Amino acid sequence: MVCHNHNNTVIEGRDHTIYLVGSPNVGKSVVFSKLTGHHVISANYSGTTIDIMSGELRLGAETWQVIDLPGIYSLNASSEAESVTARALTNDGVIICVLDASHLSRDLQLAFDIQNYHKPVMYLLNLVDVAERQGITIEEEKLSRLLGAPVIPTVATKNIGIEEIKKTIPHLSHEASQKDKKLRGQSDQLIENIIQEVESYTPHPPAYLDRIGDLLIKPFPGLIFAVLILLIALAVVVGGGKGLRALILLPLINDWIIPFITNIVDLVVDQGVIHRLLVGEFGILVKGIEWPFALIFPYVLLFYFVLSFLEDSGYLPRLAILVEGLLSKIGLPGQNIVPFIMGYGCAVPAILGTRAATSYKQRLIVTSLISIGVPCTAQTGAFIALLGDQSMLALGFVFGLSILVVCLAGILLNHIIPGEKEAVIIEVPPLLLPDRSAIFKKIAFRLKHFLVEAEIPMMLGILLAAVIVETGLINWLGHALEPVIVHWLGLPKEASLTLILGIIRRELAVMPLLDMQLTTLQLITGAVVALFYIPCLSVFIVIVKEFRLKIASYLLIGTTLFAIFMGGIVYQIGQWLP
Amino acid sequence: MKLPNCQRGKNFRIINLPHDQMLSIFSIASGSIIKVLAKQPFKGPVLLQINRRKVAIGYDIAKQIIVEEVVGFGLS
Repeated sequence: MVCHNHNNTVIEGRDHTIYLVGSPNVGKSVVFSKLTGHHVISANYSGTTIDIMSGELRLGAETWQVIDLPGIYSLNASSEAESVTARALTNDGVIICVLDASHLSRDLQLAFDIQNYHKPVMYLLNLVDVAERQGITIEEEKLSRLLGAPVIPTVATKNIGIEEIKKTIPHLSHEASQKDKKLRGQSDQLIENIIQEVESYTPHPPAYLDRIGDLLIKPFPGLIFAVLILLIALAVVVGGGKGLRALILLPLINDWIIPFITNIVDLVVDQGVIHRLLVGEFGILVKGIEWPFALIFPYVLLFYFVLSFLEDSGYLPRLAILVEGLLSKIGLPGQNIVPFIMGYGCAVPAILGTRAATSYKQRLIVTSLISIGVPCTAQTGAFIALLGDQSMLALGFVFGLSILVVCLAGILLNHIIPGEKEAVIIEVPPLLLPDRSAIFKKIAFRLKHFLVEAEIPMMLGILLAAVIVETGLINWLGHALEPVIVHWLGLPKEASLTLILGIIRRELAVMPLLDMQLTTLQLITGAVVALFYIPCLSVFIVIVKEFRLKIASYLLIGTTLFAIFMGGIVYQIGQWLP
Repeated sequence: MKLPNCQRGKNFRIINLPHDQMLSIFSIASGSIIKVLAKQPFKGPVLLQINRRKVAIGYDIAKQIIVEEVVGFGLS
């Protein structure tokens, strides 16, 4: 199976191509995952799909290419997502149009627009469970007759209706989709008539989830719940992570795995440079296992557990709406809040996520803020490992400073970057109890991504560190950077290593400090430098791709200078305090 | 009356509104009946219900939407 993402390129259609079309947050990506067996990140809010994904579906002897298009409300080509979809649909293939059973009237316009492409089409009536919960029933046979195409009720997250889709695909034909020609050039009146025909609504007291969903979005008690939910999330990630690390991972790795590896290396390799590169101070087989697995992994795991749960429940847009008033003042209005929160996981999907519905100005602000002062989950893990054991107060200080700087930078950037304020219109998704298997799949997907993306650069970084230390290059480097590292920042010469490694990954700007026996003030200074220091190599590449090299270079130079400036300020002030 | 000045929990009819494609997608148009569910602090969005859908409208657009109160109209 192959899975590529076409970056806004034109998709070449074949006869056996299936286009998945539908409004945002209707569950296209879930249907795509279920049909192709590929996992793609989906969540319970609009705009999760930012790239066009394609995958394969085998039906008997035939192979179909399935293409997941970004969510759109109409086909007027008024946004990037709409033109991409419109362009894709000019190629050959069949269309699966996913409709939201709980919001059928909104989606019918798109259902009609699709028919103008004269392709075999089938409609999925997804989220029938949510509709049912709200007292809505839809007669799919009637709807099918009116639309002149098959209509299949589905609950994609629970696999309901998926087999039915697979059975129907080979039987789709052009004739069916063109039967009801009178439906073309419809009006709002026609949509209303259809709704009256097929939909029945029994008002009944809202289900408890809907009632909770409503409470969570009112200032009172919503804001109180928001604080509680964030505190619980923090407790799970920080507390749970420390527990996992201290009770399971550290003993396992330090008492069993690393001694075991060291013993083998002792047997096979003679004392010398190679031996030290493998298991010495920065031995890749020692630090390359201890750092990612014992120190970072527990936090990454728990962070993604919490994030995936919040994403699928539909809570994040509610949180965004609650705090929009405040955050719009620091340059983070509406649709940008969720990508910004994602930045605390990893900056790469966060920056890509801003593509969904925002202006250039807004994208630039979010990207800058994340690059300047939002630590990714791996770096957060490194901070907890570095500071958490010494003083929770120091940890709190570093995160407090991060928030303060992000707010000030946001206000500043919002003023100096030209551009219009954009319209904020956010649809509130239903509150859902996330499906357990979907959550586990999502966490597994993200962890795999983390291990592949993080482990290799981290190993290379550690190898680089080992080479710098073993060849004595560290002395030269320490000497060269002495005015900055020693005099301005008050750190030992060897700390110059962090500035080199920090280019590769954010947490590598922190990790080398662990074994340097630093004072609390030095730890805080080092952490502050690492926090504001340049984003990692992969983020830099993404910024170049999304914004041009010029912007990326500004951010690179700006963050480096700012990090050293802030670190020095903290050290110089800290020195005078008792 | 401007939308952000509306009392929450009441129903309103839209009289005038700026042109925005997103608004029409949610069938927020002249003459539509909406219910104000909540107003978020610090000039945050106005949360309203239209048909059975809940949509948050940012303050900047909301203040351009002119409405009048509808009495005795049942929008649950």
